[in-house]
Amino acid sequence: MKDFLSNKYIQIGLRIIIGAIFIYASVGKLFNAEAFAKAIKNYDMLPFATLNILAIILPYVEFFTGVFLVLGIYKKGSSAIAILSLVMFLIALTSAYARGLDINCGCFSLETTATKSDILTRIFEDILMLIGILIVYIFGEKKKSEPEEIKENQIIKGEI
Amino acid sequence: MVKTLKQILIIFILSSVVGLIVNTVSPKGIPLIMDMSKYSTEQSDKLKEDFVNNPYDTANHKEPLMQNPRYNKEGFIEPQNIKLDFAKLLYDKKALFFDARKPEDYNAGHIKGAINISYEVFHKKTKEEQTEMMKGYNKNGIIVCYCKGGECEMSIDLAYDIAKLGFTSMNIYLGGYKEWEDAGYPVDK
Repeated sequence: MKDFLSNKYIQIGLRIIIGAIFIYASVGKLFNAEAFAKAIKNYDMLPFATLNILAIILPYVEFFTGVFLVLGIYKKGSSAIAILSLVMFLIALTSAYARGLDINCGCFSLETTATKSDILTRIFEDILMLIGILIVYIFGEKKKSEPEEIKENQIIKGEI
Repeated sequence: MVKTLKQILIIFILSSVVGLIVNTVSPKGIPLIMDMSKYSTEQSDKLKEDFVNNPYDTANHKEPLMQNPRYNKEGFIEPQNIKLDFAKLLYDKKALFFDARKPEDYNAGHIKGAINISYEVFHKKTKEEQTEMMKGYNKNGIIVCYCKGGECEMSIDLAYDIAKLGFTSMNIYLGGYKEWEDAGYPVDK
């Protein structure tokens, strides 16, 4: 299983899919901070003073994380940020759903047409992506474990 | 672990720098701190006092509701946020109430006598179509927009859209349908 998950092609595939989703999700927000600030405000979770600055910076964090994941640059850092973001989204979405907030999630588009069932779909997608990115983070840079190294050395020495 | 933290920091710094630069040069840039006056109901008591001292025909008056209306940069009179007590007073004086929610929410219950002008529908129309829709209403009449209350912003957005058409006395009742219903004021279901 470990070998399968750390397989080069599985890793590249996951990074490209999740990275592309991050880029896609960020594009609509990159030049529309006002609408995104409103979307964050609707969650009613953060102090007002932080809303605009987050709306200015977060879309770029999302964008660069996506780009780096796709290109395979800073794999550990970008997948760690992706994990943090997805956990954050998950908390926000679940709490909005639990509180029965009838809001647009502000996930992919900033249109005001989303309904509660959309939030459930987003939660489901979020969990899937979280599993994917955890696989990238944990199995991305496969290091040889000690017993394996010993075994290899033994093979070289002809002991086994 | 240190390597990961370093990478995270680099991505955050890069994003912050690019985000702040784009926000500064973009015509759609926003201030770093949100303008909260949009949600403030501070002026509500003053407006109510003015209204009580200078009662006039709510539906047909000729002057804007405020003595010194806040004309903003775009040249229209900014809608005012009002609290429950003033909203009820205007209601009793037969001011027009617009419900900015979707038709299904409106049908499930609304302030008695309110007219449903769904923000989602209204916002998508061209300025000409919006003007046509508002044709029958007095531009100087007092109009109160509301939606669900709480985190709902459709009342604010609708009031601004209508104010941009030249309506002079747009008011936003932020407490919305929920607060109104909880107060036991007249509703239609």
